[in-house]
Formats: sequence, C-alpha cells, structure tokens
Amino acid sequence: MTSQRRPAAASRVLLAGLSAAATLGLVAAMGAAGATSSTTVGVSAGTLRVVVTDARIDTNVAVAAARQAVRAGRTVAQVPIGAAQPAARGGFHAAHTQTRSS
Amino acid sequence: MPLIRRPAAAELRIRAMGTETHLVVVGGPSRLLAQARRRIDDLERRWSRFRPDSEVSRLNAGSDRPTPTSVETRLLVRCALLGWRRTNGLFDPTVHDALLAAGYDRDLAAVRRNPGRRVGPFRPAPGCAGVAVDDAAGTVTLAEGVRLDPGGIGKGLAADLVVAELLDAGAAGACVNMGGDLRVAGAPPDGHGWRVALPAGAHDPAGTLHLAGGAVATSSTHQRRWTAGGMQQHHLIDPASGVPTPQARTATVVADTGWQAEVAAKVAVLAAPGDIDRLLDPLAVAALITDRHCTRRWGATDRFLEAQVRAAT
Repeated sequence: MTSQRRPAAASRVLLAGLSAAATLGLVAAMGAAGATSSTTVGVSAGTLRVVVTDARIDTNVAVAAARQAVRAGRTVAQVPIGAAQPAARGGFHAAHTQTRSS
Repeated sequence: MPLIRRPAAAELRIRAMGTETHLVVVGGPSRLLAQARRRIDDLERRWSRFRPDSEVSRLNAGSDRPTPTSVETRLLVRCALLGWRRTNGLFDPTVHDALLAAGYDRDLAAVRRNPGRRVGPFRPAPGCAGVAVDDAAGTVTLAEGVRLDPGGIGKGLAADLVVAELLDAGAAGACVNMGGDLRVAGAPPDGHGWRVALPAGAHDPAGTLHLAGGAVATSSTHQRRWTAGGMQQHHLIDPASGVPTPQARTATVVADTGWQAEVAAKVAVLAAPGDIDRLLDPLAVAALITDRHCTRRWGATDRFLEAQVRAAT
C-alpha cells in the first residue's frame, strides 16, 4: 500500500478493494480528521492505493481506515459517495418518496 | 427523435427497524430489492435495542468491558461519536435509559397498545466521553452506566450503507427511505432528479425537495409520541435533562449522508434558537425548521425546494 498527500484544490480520495461499509467508515474517519462535507470518495481497480488530495485530511487516519477495511475482506468496484446536490427542476412530477419524522 | 431508454425502476415497501421503509432501485439485476431487504434485516438484527441478542444489546449489557462487534456496528458507533462531538453533545446516542424512563421500552407500536403506568426517574444522559472503538481488536467499549440507542442514526446509516451496496451491485440509482431517514444516489427513475416530498403539514410552504444525490431526514416532536405515566411523551430527548424536549419543532434537513442528516435534524429540534446556525453548519447544507410561529429556511434550501403554489381562494 502506498499513500501520498497533495494539497490540491480537488478533494478526492481514491481507494480500491474496499467494501461500501468500510468506505463509509473511511468517510467517517475523514470527518474525524477534519475533512469537509465536500470530500468525495471513489474507487479504482487494482491494488489498494490511497491518495489523499485534501490537505485537511490526516493521511494516517485514511490509511489506517483502509487497512482495516481490507482486513474485512470485501471488494467493490465503485462507491458513489458525494456531497448533497440539488437537481434541476421543471414541470410537475410526482415525488418518488416522502420524508417524515423518524 | 431518438428514443431514450431508461433503466426500469422497481420499488418495495416493508416494515423494518420499527418504521415504514421504502426502497427504490433503478436498473441492475432483478435480485437487488431482495438483497437490500436482507441487508436491512441484517442491520436490524445487529442494531435493534429491542432484540436481546443484537450487537447493540450485547454492547449495552457489556457496559465497560470491550465487546466484540462487527465492522458495521463499529462504524455505527463511530458515526454516533462524531455526531456527539460535532454538536457538543446535543446529539447524544446515550439517551437509551432516558427513553426507557419515558416509557419507550418496547417497539413503539407495543408501547402505544399497552403504555407504561409510570415514568422516570429522569436523569441527564451520561454522554460518550468514555466510549472507545478499537478497529484492530474489533471491539467497542462503553463506559460504566452508558447504554446506546442507535435509533435514528442507525436508520440513516442503514440507508447510506444499503444505497452504496445497491450501486456497488449494479443498480444505476437507488433510494432507501427508512421512515424518513433517506439516502438517494445515482440515476433517478425518470431523469428529473430524486424528488422527496416534505412531511405532510409539517412546513410552510409544503413542497418537494429535488436532489441529484444526498440525504434527507426529518425529526419532529409532533410524531413518534405515546402516553406513559398519564402524560404525552415523545422520542426527542434533551440530553442535559433526560426528558423529552418541551420545544415544539419539526426539522427537515438535507445533508451529504443519512447519518449526518439524522444528527442535524435532531439538533435542529433540540438546539436553543441562537445555537442552530453554529450546530448545523458542519453537518447540513439545507434545512426547514418549523416551530409554533413560522418555518425558517436555513442554508441552501431554495436550491433544493420546489414549493407548492397555493391555489387562490
């Protein structure tokens, strides 16, 4: 496993070989390390590689979370996790679902 | 004009985690709805506080001893800890005993059918200061006297996990709505974004949230109510006092993930009016917060909300 840290503008962490649960765990770990809600997580094929390009993320935390996830032994090809985004509107369309108090 | 063939959408409504659950899957293999249902059942078996053999019940019984837990349960506890820390303890997953004191000691339907005659004693929630997650050992340790109620954050995190796993398994898009804690991602059924109706009668204006992706959660002191000890109770506990908050408020929150939306919705209901901005900032992107007087739109609400236009009378 290799890791590197780039203080680039784009916030992106690339992982391979992680389960969805583990990837979400990594998101949680990044949150603990101070990452903002705009951080995105993607997964690429091949051996596990962690690339942290958000200077606010503690690389050691990300790598530790990734190692733990690999020990869990699951794999995924792609996990789309991103910030909440509004969708374009137009015309009348019925709702797909409804929120209510949980 | 070329035809645009969209992947077919399938949906399922089930009762799970003590609430109505709505699953929508766009595209992918036909087995995905059944797979999602099994996964939700699996998470409920791990996280229900009403099942004595669940991981959460074993954790609560283990008190200050390290208790072996699955990666999912460690993730749940980690998210709950983050919520507690980010809100200065206003979101508090250790209100388990306070809920019991208020009479919420069984599935809500059973509580309503056969309410308890006594309530109390009410004590402040102990907080998460002594809670530790050890991924290397695969354990969670609670401090003495600390018991967890996964409640809403469990539903929000379950929505996050199941949506991610559905897309991982080949779905083009998915929505998992755990009784109001919901997550959407990927392609919507009809190409016009994911549309989430606001809770009926809760906010003014009523309307629909339009999301390309993200999560929505609603918390309300007007719902999930029951009678115990001859008094009306509800599930939103003020951790400082250990009693259901006296504030009458409903909050619907848009956030990146389901668990964050749930944390933000809870604090939007529990927070003193002057603290709401500070507490929501790190958690949410938009919120509608309704009290006895008005509905306040917080953050980027207008980018998500299509309000219903009232017919002139």
